[in-house]
Amino acid sequence: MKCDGLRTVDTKKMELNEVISMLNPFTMMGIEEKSKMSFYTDIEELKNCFLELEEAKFNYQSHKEEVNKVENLLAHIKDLRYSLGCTISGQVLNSIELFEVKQCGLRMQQIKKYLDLIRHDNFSLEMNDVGELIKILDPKNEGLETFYIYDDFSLKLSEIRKRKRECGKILKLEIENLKKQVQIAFDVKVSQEHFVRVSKDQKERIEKMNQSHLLKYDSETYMQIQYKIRYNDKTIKYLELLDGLKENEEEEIFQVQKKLSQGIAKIAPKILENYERIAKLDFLWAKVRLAIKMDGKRPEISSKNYISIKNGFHPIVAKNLKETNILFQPLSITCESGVTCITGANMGGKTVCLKTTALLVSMMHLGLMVPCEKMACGLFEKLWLITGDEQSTKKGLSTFGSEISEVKEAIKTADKNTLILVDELASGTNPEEGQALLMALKDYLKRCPAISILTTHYDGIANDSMIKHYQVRGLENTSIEEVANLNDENERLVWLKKHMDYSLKEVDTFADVPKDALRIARMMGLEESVVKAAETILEKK
Amino acid sequence: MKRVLKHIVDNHYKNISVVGLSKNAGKTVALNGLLEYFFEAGIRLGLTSSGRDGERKDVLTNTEKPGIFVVKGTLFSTTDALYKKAKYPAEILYIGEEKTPLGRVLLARAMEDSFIEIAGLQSNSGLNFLCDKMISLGANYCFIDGSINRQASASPQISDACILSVGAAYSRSMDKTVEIAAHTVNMFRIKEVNSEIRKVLLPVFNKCCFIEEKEVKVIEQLTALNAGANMAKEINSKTKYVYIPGALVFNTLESILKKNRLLKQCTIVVQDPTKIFLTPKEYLWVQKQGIEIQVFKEMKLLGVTINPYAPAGYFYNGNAFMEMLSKRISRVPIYDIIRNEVIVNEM
Repeated sequence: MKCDGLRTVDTKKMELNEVISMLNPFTMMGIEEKSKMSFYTDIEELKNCFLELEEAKFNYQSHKEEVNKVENLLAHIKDLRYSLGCTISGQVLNSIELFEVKQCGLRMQQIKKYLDLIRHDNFSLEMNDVGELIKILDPKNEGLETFYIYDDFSLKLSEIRKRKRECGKILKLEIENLKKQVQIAFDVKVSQEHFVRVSKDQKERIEKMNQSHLLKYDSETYMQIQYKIRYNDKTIKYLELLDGLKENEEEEIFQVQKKLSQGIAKIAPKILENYERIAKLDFLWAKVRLAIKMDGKRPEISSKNYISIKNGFHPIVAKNLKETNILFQPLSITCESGVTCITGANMGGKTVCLKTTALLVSMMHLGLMVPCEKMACGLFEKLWLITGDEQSTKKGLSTFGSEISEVKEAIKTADKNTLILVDELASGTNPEEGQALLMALKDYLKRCPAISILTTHYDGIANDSMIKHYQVRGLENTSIEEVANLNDENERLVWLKKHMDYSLKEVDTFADVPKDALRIARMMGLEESVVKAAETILEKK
Repeated sequence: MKRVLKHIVDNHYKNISVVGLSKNAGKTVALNGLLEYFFEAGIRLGLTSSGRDGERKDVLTNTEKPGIFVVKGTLFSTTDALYKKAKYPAEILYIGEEKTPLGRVLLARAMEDSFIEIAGLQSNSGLNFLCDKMISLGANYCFIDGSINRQASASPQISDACILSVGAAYSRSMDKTVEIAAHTVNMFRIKEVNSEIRKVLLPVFNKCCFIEEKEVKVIEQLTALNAGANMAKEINSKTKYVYIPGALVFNTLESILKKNRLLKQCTIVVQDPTKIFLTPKEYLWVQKQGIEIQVFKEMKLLGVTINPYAPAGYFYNGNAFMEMLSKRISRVPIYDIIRNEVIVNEM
């Protein structure tokens, strides 16, 4: 994937970021892979990407059980690339790191086992066999995810431990013996740490204890005196021996850790390669899950300058509408070089049309399945989505100002690799000047090789044989009587949303721009006298 | 302490918590004392903590503390940071993603008899998870060392039974310590609501509700804190039980009573005794008003242990302390583990 792909003004406006945030890999590696995602620039690479995605989707859906198992394992794969790197540079891993490496090796073997069950034709999902790693870290071949520097790792270690145990046994017996003597002599309990505590009011006992060779004074509080068992020569000898053995053991443990780390270093490249494959697989499956979730289709990538969408939808807008029980009307549009004009009623969803087009085109460039029935599209270098709904407060520009500054940039290079989407240019300024400006922009763009889509409700913009004209169906098949008995404004709004037909129809370039503003105002229950007066003014014109 | 062991085994308690009235109440000594009997009987244990325990020096007060001694094969939870520093040999069984201030939580098995340091998760669900995991890894019983005056880990939602450690560290005044100890024991002994009501409450466990003769009213509110006025509206002459899912504080009861005297005929039900936050005086006032408090799940108190020493340097007379406690706390054995003494007031 290359970084310099499609450049777009603002991924926020079309809500591409929300769609990308729906891609959820399980592993750190997958998340890293996702962060590397960028727009494709090469047609062949993109085509290949979609073929791989399609195969993965097929396998994902046909091997649910294996996929489920692998996904479960992926969620538990820890990122140990740093530890593995350490072994390669000759460092020694501690027991915790060794535990994690062992666990990771066992899990990778499991993933491999399930992936091997999934048939793959053109694109490999295979993982390296890391059985050697398990052999090194699991000498008894128990297959358990537990770890300790076991005796089996080194003969020397097992001998040291054997001697330590023997020594410990003798020492324990000896100390038990001493404890018993103390218990018998003074009738007191000896603690695990070999202390005896006596209350100061037991003067006789204290006297006896002070003189006894069995105990030695340790410390005292206001109420108690604490004695410790006095070790005899034999005990002291064994305690020293044990200390020495402990030192030996520690050294030998380090040697074992070193040996194991060296062993791991040899296989580390294979494991690191597995991490790369896991990253790819995890991200690929995240894309598959997204495609399944929004019923995405593989777009046809055209070498021509061309966009054709059949029944596409905007997943985020559709989701929001669904929450209010309204169905998203799918979008179908075909555009070629030059200008396409969309006209139609207010509230008719013209803006959503542009956002959906921009989103679907961007998703395709990212190598994601697109939510539609069918889509064919060429590769672009620039995408401009210019909507007046956001003021560029950062730059201190008004709506109009930011629109113009964007248009200025967009038309500088309106070549065949550019897609320009402009939503109701200059709708915020006075209609006469706005209309003139838009008309001029249309005339400029229709001679450019770029694909431009303009939306407007100004008259006369679309009346041009050189451009394509779409109309939003809007409230075509409804009448005012249907809302007359709805009093609540909310109900009216819901009714309007429900009956508003957002779909586009291609019309004659000379078709009139529908005049729906007053009708909608009336349906929404604006004071009748105001609407009437507006109609009278129009008639006079 | 043998008696406690028998009690635990006979009743099939799985998770047992040791909680302290305050910091340095002697929990670790109590735990060690109890563990000894289990180890002698060859029972495999799991140990966890709602904080950190077994460190030889208290990091807060810089005083010496006893270590936790376990035999080979004992399971315990610690963290990766503590494990790296550890002097004891232990097999790593599990490393979780759950983060504690001391690193990731780790379950280990002692490979030799040794002094260990344990650490665990703070949340109820975290402790539950660790106990379950240790039981599944082969522990017969789990002990939870509840850190710094947190009694929450004694909650029956986590443990089946508990031991309360009372130490001089609570207050310089022995009277005060004895009073609060007796009060805590009283709270721990609050009776369980009858099974019929339990059945009604089970599906609405996390919601505030009012039970009338045949009807259950559920109101959606996240906490009962400062919600007295709202709750007062819902109480009528038919209301029998008022169920409060969160903490029960004096303020709530007082503000309900100010608006609606009918509360006096109701029984208040809380999830478990650790959810009751009433001082001895406040509890007395509640009782005088005729309000009864019951719990959804009761606590099994196995015993009380004492520590007459405070790290601040003062101490009580051990005999007097034990005697005074036994006068106020009946039917529960009181242990002085260091002096190996026990008193039970059977009255």
